[in-house]
Amino acid sequence: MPGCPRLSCVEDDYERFVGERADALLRYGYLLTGNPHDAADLVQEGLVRLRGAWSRVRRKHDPERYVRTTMTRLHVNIWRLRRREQLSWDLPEEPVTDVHDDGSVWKVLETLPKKQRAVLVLRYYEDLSDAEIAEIMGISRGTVRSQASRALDKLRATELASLESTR
Amino acid sequence: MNDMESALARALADAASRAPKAPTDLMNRVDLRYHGYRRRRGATGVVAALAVVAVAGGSTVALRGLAANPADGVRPADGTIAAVASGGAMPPENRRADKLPPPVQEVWPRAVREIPAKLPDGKAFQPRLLVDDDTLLITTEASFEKADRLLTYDLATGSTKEVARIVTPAGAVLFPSDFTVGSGRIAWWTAKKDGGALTADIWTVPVEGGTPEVLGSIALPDPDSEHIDGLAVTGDSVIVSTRAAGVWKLPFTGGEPRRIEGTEGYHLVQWPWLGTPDQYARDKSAETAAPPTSEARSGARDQPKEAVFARLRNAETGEERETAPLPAGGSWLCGLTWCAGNTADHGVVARHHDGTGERRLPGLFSFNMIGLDRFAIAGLPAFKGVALIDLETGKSADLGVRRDSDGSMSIPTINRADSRLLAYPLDGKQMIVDLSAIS
Repeated sequence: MPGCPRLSCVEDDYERFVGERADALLRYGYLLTGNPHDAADLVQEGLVRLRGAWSRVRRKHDPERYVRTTMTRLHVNIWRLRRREQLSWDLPEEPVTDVHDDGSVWKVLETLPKKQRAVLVLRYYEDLSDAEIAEIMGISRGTVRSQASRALDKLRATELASLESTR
Repeated sequence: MNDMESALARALADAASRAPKAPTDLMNRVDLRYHGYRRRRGATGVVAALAVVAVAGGSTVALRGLAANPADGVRPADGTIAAVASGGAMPPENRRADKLPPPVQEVWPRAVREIPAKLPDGKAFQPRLLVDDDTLLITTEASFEKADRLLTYDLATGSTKEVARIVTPAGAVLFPSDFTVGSGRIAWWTAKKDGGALTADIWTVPVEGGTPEVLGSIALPDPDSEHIDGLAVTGDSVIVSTRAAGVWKLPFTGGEPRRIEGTEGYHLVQWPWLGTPDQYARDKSAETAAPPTSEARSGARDQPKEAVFARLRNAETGEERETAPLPAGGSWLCGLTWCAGNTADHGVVARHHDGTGERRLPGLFSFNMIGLDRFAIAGLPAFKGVALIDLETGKSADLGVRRDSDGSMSIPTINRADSRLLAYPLDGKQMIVDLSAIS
């Protein structure tokens, strides 16, 4: 961008990215965590990390993937450890709508370990290949497959049980 | 895809359509967290250990979220995301991201002094407190955050006088902290690890100078969650507030420190007033109280989160004060008179404990302490600066702090409710704001 000081151009770019992609990132965070608070927290943390790495990530042309990778790994590996460190700014809560249906699949998702759930979201919502999921989560393809199959087994078992009980 | 997998994809897509929308002030929040994160990391190193996320490779995958929702989050690209908000009670001019309040030197000229950031001998120093109108208590540091000398600094002449040499005991895990003055004495604490437990030593020295002595020690059983979170010097003793072990009294005459009866869960706000819950306890109880199902959770969110220090007790008279019910969805911190917080409509909101006298100001309230029962720090919209706000009069002033060239910003903080000093470095100087000189 000619005629604009370098730093502010970079910041404009960053703010544009946040403005354009925030809702999509929140949807991802929501599917990952199952609740709007953690989703918002996770997105903010992902964006904070992105900001620190912006000039580097921007050159690679895929900031969205960086944020999703950050969010996924934070959520699966170290999330909640960090909470205590976030005390000096207690941010406002948004009025949000939560899920009120009793969709059994969504409910069963709540019972899955974080890693299994993340694999399912990446595979069945983001439509990523196992290789891509492995890269984002920092695990092997074999682990992606085994986590997915365990999660699907559980979903299937729960589904069968609920069919049995309504019969 | 089999039936199970199709059902799963449908359920996920369905849930995604009900995901929350990005808050209109998201950019502000990210800014605040980014700056707070940098500040804390610089100050303590605690957060640095958690920054372990790797960058993904340069793969180019069309994510479904991208492709399926081209119209997502269409917002102006000029960064004024906060200004797109609708609803909310803030008058529109308060949402403008580009308006700064006047500089603090203009708003409260009598309260502000600028002094050199270094002593005549070239040493850096930390302002700790104001002993009186013209005397600052400072420490110099042997190494990062490790104070070695305690001096008074004459704000009128710039001359200094040594009060004491500070000894940091061997094995200290927390260096001298929370310098406090009262009754002609200066008090502070250090902490050391004894086996598995943390022991806090409380030190005092006369203001006119002398050799610091340990007045008493308090064993804190859980070193990971324990901490001294406040100190006060009263007529005959030092009051020590702990994060999880109540409030203690150490008489000047010596003798065993004793916990003030019934202070479990309470913390020093402004002696003799104690408050509960603190931020840790509140967040913890909010987490454990969150019911497991999404439906019930949504009901729980309509319940307001309890304010930090929503319940106050006077340790001398036993008088109690409880905050009137707060609006849902907000997050609040109380002092003796005021409660302040952020609400979803992009501003600082403050009101008295009884719910009266509501005031709204632009910015994001910083969850430090409410200083002298009326002053607070707020991040200005779009994080263009930091304001000192006077809840009593509704005035606010720009502290002059700006981002560095790397985008970081140090945020001045009010760490104690009873301190009249707000000090922060600015443009190679040390800014000294005497909150008690603001009327």
